[in-house]
Amino acid sequence: MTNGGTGPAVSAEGLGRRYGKGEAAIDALAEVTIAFPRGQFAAVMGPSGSGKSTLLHCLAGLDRPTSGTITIDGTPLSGLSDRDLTVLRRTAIGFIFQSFNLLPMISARENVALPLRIAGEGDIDERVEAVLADVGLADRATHRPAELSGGQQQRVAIARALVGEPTVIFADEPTGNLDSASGQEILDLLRRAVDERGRTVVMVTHDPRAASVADRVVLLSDGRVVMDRLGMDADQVYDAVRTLDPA
Amino acid sequence: MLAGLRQRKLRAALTAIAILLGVAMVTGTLVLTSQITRAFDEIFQAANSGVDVRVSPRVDFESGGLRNVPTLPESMVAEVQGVDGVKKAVPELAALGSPVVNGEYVQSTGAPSFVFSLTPDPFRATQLSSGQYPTKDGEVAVNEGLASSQGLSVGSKLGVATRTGVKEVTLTGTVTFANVSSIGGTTIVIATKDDVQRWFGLEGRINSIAVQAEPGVSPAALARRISAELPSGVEVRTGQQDAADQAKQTTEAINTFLRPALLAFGVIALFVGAFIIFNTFTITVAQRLRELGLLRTIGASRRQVMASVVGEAFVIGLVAGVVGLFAGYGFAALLVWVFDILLPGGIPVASAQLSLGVALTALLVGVVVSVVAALIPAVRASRVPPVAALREGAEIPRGRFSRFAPVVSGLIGVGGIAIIVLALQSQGAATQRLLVMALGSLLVFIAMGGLLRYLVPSLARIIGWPLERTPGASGSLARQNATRNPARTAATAAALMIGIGLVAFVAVFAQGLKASVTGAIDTTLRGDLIISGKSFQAIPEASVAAVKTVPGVSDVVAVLTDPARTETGTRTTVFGLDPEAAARGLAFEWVNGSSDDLRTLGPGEAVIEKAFADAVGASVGEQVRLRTGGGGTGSYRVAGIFRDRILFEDGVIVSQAGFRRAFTARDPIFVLAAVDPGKDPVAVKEAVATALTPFPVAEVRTNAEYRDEISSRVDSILYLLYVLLAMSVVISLFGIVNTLVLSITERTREIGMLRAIGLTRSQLRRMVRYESVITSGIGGVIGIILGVVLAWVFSLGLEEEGIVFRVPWLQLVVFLIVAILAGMLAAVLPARRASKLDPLDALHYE
Ligand SMILES: Nc1ncnc2c1ncn2[C@@H]1O[C@H](COP(=O)(O)OP(=O)(O)O)[C@@H](O)[C@H]1O
Ligand SMILES: [Mg+2]
Repeated sequence: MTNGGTGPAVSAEGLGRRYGKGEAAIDALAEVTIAFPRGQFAAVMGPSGSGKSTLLHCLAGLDRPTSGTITIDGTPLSGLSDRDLTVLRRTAIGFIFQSFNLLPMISARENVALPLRIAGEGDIDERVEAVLADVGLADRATHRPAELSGGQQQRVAIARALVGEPTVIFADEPTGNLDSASGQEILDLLRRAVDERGRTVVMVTHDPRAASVADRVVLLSDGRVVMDRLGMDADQVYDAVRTLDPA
Repeated sequence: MLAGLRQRKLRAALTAIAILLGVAMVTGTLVLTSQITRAFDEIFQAANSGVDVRVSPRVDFESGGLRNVPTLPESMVAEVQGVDGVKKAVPELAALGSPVVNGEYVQSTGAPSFVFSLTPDPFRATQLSSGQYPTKDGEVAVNEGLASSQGLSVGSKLGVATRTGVKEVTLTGTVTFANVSSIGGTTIVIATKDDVQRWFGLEGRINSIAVQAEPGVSPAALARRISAELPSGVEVRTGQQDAADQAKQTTEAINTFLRPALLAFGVIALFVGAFIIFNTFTITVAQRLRELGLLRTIGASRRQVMASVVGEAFVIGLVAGVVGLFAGYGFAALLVWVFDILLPGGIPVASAQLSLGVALTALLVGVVVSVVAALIPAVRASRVPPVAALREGAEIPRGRFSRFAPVVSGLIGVGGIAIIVLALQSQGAATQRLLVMALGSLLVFIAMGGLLRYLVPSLARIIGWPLERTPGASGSLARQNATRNPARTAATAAALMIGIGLVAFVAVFAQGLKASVTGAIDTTLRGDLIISGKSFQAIPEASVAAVKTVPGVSDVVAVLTDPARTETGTRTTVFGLDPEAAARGLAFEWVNGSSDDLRTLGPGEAVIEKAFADAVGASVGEQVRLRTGGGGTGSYRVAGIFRDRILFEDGVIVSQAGFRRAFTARDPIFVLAAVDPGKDPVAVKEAVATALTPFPVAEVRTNAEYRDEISSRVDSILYLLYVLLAMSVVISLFGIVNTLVLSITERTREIGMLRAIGLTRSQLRRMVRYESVITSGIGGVIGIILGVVLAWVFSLGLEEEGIVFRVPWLQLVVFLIVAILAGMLAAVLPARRASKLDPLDALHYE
């Protein structure tokens, strides 16, 4: 797709997001400047309410920041119409939600095919089968979400995020609803998406072990980036988080 | 929370509208019919205000209205004047005759055109609004409405179409009725008694005598006294009684026909509304599982949970009743407007009044329909286990009997079909059989509503086929959404199915009716021209002679008719015509005898229609004895039996001489004529039209034009039915809107996800629209199929009546398109709401 560029996959400058007005206003994000190079697996961490989801939503063009600029794949988001923004999400961005968010009435295969079908692309069967095989669900293709385990459902969601070959995949606590074994499978798949397919992954997580799978850990507190480091192991992450969140 | 409240308000409003419109139709009907009957009451009261006693010819049964009013000898006035206690007795005449202004015939299709003889005070029903009453022959007064609409004023010249030609008269005044709100499009011409007698060939005859009593003499006592002096065959009634009797006739006609017919459409609308209430409550109960479970955990009993749902239905029904009551007045006004269009001139209506009875009916209907429709969902709600509060995705345990639901639906359907088949095979009267068949059809509709859910997946696939071929995923998502809860889609579609089904039914039925009548005209009438009267009036006798003189015209058959009854009360219509011309002009299917028997018909003979022969058990050679409406009798030997279910149905055909033996109609109801071979029919028709200039009430048409006229008359009734059924279709649209809104709320998170992964707003709107179209398409397709099948079954039942089965394909296609457009329309609001959802909502739920 569009991931042939050379600049960062995603970048934000002076990003702010304020909720409410006047006295009661909350700055969910304040002066965040950050860039995610192509082919990087980044974990975003921080205490509850620190602005992780807000950051992700803004970067993904789901929420409009109150200040600052965001660029995805070289395209500045500000000034894009709702339609162009949607098309950008469709082509350049993949999404993975905590609660899978699959359509219950259609099969795993159809769920995976959804982004391509929305885009009106033809000849999608092979691509869908390949991605399904990649996440290890070739034999579950015809099952409905309700007939799959949580881990399997999240793998369908990953396949759905991968199938459009987006530049960047955003994942908001993708392992939050899973047992640790299933969670590990998900992390492995995300890791492979970066290593083998050259995708950029930005993942919000609470789990230091999950974060340690990433190349980079970004720590948020009160809407600001308080730490940004490469190559941390689980213990380092754990310590870093604990200094912020003594509870 | 606030959004939830707004959401519930919207749903409650949409749900209330579903029954509100039905309530409005029911109350509107009650209001309108009472407006009409009151208008007639007022008119008859006014007409009798100064009349203490009225003497009129005895009428055993209605004999063709004013077309053929029985008369009394004018000499009777003096007799009555001589009765002790009579202060004043005056003759009255009433005839039908339209004004002719600037050579243009003033046509009032829906309302009669009266010519009244001038009566002195205190008998006058009218008040002068300008000028004065006529003082001599050649002068008239007309009603104010006519004068203003035709630009007439005192001194204007105008014509009056009479039996003896168009009479030139001078306007001396305009009049209004005191205390009468409206006389509709009725036109009134008041002329001198002598003029009216001359104009209508009533020399020495009058229609009735108005009597004023001496002071101190009671009308009732005077009526008895007069009655004792007069021969039998004369009716003597007090003015009040006479007004009441006349009003009773119209009131009965309205209460036995118009009111039940209109109410039927209200009931259909309520039935459709009930489907929507049922569906809405079913959906909301399913959506409120957690809330209901919570109620149970904090100690609410099953009954209390049930009561909370029923209570909500009660409130919605009450609101619908109150608003529907007022909307009913709007509906009544709408009907008046529609009648005005269909019957130019309209019908007399008094002002609308608020009555306690109507108000209570509205409330009762609203509440009962709403509560009954919500009962099943309420019972279901009561089955929600407390644990539903804690568990995501908990389901209501299915009732013990729910697995029998399809069986029950099937049985209802089979029962409905059985009832229809039995009615088809029974020998009862056609109207009774039709009523039973209507009941059977209702059951078929209910059964179809229950079984539709099993058809939804395949129907959605068929209807969704072209939609799924459109680029993007909107089509297939829509189809998948429509089929994920087949019962919901089915109930929503079923509401539309009823409306569209009935529309298709009447369309097919009307098509058959038109084909039958026009077919009968083609096969029975050998001639080329048909002369008939405007506004259902008879054609002046003198016009027949005028037609006969036109070169190129032959076989002129003037058809006189009068209603008659046998000794045992069997109804029939007697037709008097010239046997020789008729034998050439009419092609009958003979059961017994031949057209020779018609050609040689003597004055004491008759040929009779098969159904009448069967009804009275008469065969060739036997005598049939008939009573006239005026109490006369006639006896005819049956010379032959023919079959004609359309033009001469249940009829008795006699010669004109035979007709005059007992019957009084002088003016033909229609005149048939042939054009000599070799002559140009169009030119001859024009010549006939010219010959008919003195009789503007008479209209000549070729058979083809007459067929078109019949078709357009059937069509105008059809359009009225469409308007009434359109209400049901509109109601079902609200049902679709409601279901979509509820489903979208339910799917907020999915919609957010779809938007997040790249579904554009317009794709989302298209998805909602397509789902709506699939739903309405299912309702439309099944409704049309059901309507056509039922119409076919009905036509089988009416085969004996000569009704054939014809499918108006083009119209059915139009109905399907209407159903689909309706689906698009219903989707507008839900699609907008869906597209306004924030994609973030997909994530906020976490
Ligand atoms: N729609 C909203 N309206 C008002 N405040 C919000 C909204 N969304 C998030 N916030 C606030 O913004 C802050 C950051 O929220 P969020 O990004 O969800 O944090 P996290 O994902 O790190 O837990 C919190 O204080 C939260 O209450
Ligand atoms: Mg969060």
